[in-house]
This record gives sequence, C-alpha cells and structure tokens, in this order.
Amino acid sequence: MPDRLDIRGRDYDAAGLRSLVAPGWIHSAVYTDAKIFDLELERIFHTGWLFIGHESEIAKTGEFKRRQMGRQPVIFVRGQDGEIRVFLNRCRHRGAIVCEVDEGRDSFFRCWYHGWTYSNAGELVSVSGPDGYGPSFDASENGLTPVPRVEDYRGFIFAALSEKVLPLEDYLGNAAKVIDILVDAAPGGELSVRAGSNRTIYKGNWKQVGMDGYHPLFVHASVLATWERHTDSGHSLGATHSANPFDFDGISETRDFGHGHTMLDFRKHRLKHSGKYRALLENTPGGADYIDALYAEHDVAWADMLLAMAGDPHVGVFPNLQLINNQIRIVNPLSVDETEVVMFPVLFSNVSTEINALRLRQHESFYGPAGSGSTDDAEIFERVQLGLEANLDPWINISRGMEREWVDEDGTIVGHVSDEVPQRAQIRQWLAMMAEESPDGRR
Amino acid sequence: MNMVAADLCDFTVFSELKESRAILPGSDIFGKIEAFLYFEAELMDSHAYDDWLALWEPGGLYWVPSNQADLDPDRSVSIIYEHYDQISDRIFRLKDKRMHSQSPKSRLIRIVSNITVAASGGSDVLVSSNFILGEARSGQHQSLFARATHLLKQGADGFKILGKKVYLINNDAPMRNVTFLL
Repeated sequence: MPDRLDIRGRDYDAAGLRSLVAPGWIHSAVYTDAKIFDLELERIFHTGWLFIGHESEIAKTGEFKRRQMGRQPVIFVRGQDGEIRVFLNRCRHRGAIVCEVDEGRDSFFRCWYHGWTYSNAGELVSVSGPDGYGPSFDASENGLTPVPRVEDYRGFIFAALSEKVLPLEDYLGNAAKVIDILVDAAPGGELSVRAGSNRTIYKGNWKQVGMDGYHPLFVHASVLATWERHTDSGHSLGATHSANPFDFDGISETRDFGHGHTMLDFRKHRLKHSGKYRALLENTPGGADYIDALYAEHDVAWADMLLAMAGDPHVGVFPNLQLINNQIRIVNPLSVDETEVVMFPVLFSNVSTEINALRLRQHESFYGPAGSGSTDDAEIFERVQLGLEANLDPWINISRGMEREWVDEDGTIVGHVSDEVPQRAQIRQWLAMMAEESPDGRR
Repeated sequence: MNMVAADLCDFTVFSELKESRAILPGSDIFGKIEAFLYFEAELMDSHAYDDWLALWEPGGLYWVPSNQADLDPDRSVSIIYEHYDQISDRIFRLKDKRMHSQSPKSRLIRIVSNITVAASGGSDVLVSSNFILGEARSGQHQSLFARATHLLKQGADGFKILGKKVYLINNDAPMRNVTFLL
C-alpha cells in the first residue's frame, strides 16, 4: 500500500496528479476533490471524444435532441439536408440557449432574447432589425458554433470539443468490434433508439459507473433471489443471465481494450447457455422470424454468438457511454459528487412489436429509477461517496486479479469477470488524459 | 396495446366502460372509493407490502410511464410496467433485507386529493386522483407530485385494483430512486 498522502493544499500539476494513482491503488481525492472534477471537465469532457447519440434518434430531417458535453449544452440535430450535426446550444449574439426543449422537430432554432434565428443546419438566417448592424457584419460568420469533431461508428455519433483527437475508429480500437454485437443483433443492422429514456441521478462521482463483475452477488442479491424464485420468468433478465455468469469459478471474463474501454465479457458463458433465450424468443410472436433473419444475414458462428449475447455487448466506452443489456447509457457528470445516468432502451426496426415490447420489459425490470438493479447500484455509489470522505487511509484498492490477468493476442488485457481489470483500465486512461501528453492525441 | 393500459390512457376511449354513468361526490359509492384510496395510501406509506398486494386483482397492471403522461407501453419505455407476477416479485424484493435502496426504509407521507370518478361500467370504475408524496431517508428528503388513475373492480369483499397508472410530473427529469410503492 502506498504511504498515506495528505492532499490538503496540494497542487494538481502533472506530478501531483500522478501521485494519486499507484499500481492497484487510487487515492480517494480522485473521487472527492472538486478541483480535480474541474480538471476532468476541462481535460476529458471538454476535450476528448464523447458519445452524443444514435443516428436513429434523429432519423427525420429537422429532428433534434438536447445533449450535454460536460458543462457545455449542445444540440444534436439532423438538418434539412439530411446531415447530422452537433452545435453548441448558444446564441452567437448574447449567449442564450437557442434550443430550450429536450427534443423536437423544427426547421429553425430561434433565440427569444432578441430574435436571432438559425436554420437547422446552423446558419444565421435572420437578425431582427438588421439595419442596426453595419456593412462589416457577416451573417455567415455568426452561425451556431459547430462542435469541431463529429464522427460516427455504425450509427453511434461521437463528438469532441478539441480538433486534436485521434480518428474515432482509432480511439475505439478493439471496442468497436463488440459494439457490433448490438448492431448486428438487429436485422438489417437497423437500431431504433426512439423509445424514450429513464433519467436517473445519484449523489456520487461519475467514475463510479464503471464495469464491475465483482459486485452483483452482493449489490444485487435480492434480484438474484427473485430470479431463482421462478427461473422461467420471461419478463426478467434472468433468461439472458442463466446459470450465474458472475460465479467465482465461472468462465466469464473482463477485458481492457485500451483508451479506458472495457467489457464484462460473457461470450463464452452465454454460448454455453443460449438455449433459454432462444426458447423465450420462440415463444414470442415473430421470434422464429427473428432467429431466421440472424442466420440469413450472418455466418453460423456469428449468428450463434449474436443469439447467445441477445444484443448485449456489456461494453463501456470511456468516458460517457455504456452498452449494457438492452440499453444505451450516457453518463453525465454534474458535480464531483453528483451524476446523471440516462438510459435509452434500444429497439430493433425490423422485428415484431412483441420482441421490442419484451426488450422494454426486460430493461424496466432491472433499470431505471424504480428498477430492481440500478437502484441498488445508485444506493451503493452513494455509500461509497460518503465513505471516501473518511480519508486518513485514503487509498482505494483496485488490485483484484493483478497477478492473474493476461494479454490476449489482440493486445487486450483479460481477467476473470470478478477482477478489477476495468477499474485499472479506466484510471490509466484517466491519468493519461489528465496528466500526460495523452495517447488519444488530444494535445 | 393491452386493454387495461388503454383504459388508463387519457387519449383512449374507455373501451370496456360502455355503460358510463356518473358517480358524484357525496354518494355512498363515492365515499367507498375515497376510503379505498386513503386505505391504499396508508398501506403504501407504512410499507405494509403484503396487505397492499392483497388489494390487487390477479392479472392487474401497475404502470408508471416515463417521459410523458401517456405512451404506448409496447413502443416506449416506462419507469414501471408490471403485471401481477412482477408486482409480486417487487414485493418479494421489498421484504428482502438485501434490497439496499430500501435499507433503511424511506419514511413516507402522502396526501391524496382531487378525487374524481372518470367513468364506470358494470362493476368497474375508473378513478382519477392527485397526490403529493414526501420521502425522508438517510438525511435527505424529496417531494413527488403525481396523478394516479385507478381502474377498480367492485366485488363482494370491496374494491380490487385491476390497473393503476401513476403519472409523476417530473418523469422526464433526472430522478432519484423511487423504490418505495407509488
């Protein structure tokens, strides 16, 4: 264990930041110090790649959603020309937000302070009382400010407020291939993220929403007891979590893809237990057609995998995206000890209503502010945040599995599902972006 | 859409309630409806889980929409969308000491008001009410404001809940845990 480290009055220059992380250990200040939170916004959320939304959310021209990039409000919009763009939600005149509703469809964004009006492609199309501005005023220089980098991976739109980030595919690296587990599970590769969201909030640091395969037996003990109560329930996630995937003697793994991207890798486990989910589908109207479509579109081995995984990559893309079970999840840091988690159930465009309804019911059973699972996660995160304030012994232990992890042929670090491979991956990327000339090329 | 869900939606015609007749405040049956809602509120506030579950008809639907007051639950996500078996699971978990989000339990008080009978037919009545719910837990408190819609069935031993929808007016905003009964 590192020596006790009193952070009172400490400067967070590069050396100061490095002193908060040791192999297998994180100083609690990383989760509790508001000065560090401000640096995180500047160097991670206002610099690097963030997930913004899925293209199907704004499938029609003029559709838009409000989103956050750290503290910066943005608009995710499809213009009249069909292009997807991300703009800062700020009038170029005196700075009011120009989009005041969470979502909608319109040709224009109007600032109701003085009436400046922008097209949904961001151009300033009218200024009230134009005679008041002289000949030097150029409307073309006063459009909505575009977020400098916007790129997409198979419909997942990411943006960065700094120009100097790696190409998105390089940033995602091997994490991209597991996003395919969700996209390919939809016939035609067509996801539909238009089913609304559950918005939740907890009083704890944003980095607590990680990938953790060590907690379910304890945090979710009451849910596991429910699943055991009637193992055939089609309305629980039990059908995809058959036979305990978190067993200490089991074959589930966890992966560190680099750049802080991590996965609870249930592939081997679920391939052995895919019969139950297949049976559930076969008892659902449209289920047999769905299974046929998977095998028609993909080779047998990949179709077997897609069916076994039920479209659940269980991957976290640093810092703000998770694809878990049937949902896309966005993590929004609000303050050092408050975090919003927005959960968007993902439906498939080309399957029966009954299959999509099943996906919704599975999601609601575990997730959302009244679900059985994520509520206990939120409760435990709040207990952690309270506990971390006790900092005479300030070190958090993330060493589990350090002596048994191994490197796969694709370069990913692999451990048992209960090992703290993801915690170490997350803090390594965190430190790179906070203190170093970062490997994602941001500076 | 499920028929009970359709009855609980403001935008649908009450398909099952054709013989709609007025039930006015002051009438004997209106008083019984009021007493039922107050009794249910008391059971929820006091965490009398099994007694509350006993108010439900087998097959009953418990629905808390997300994002808006009304939606098609087969196409849009809800906060809770459960039939009797899943409601029974919820009660099973609430009685488990390892349901951490209710350990310790929330202290609850709700005020039920603005009761109106929207429609009735046969032995069924559709009741609308508003409630304010205060929660105190672990040194924090929150207030929730909501409209409840109950589809009740009148039988020999009083009313049973066929369907219940709770529209939380903040259901499109970030919410803290609501793992107690709504």
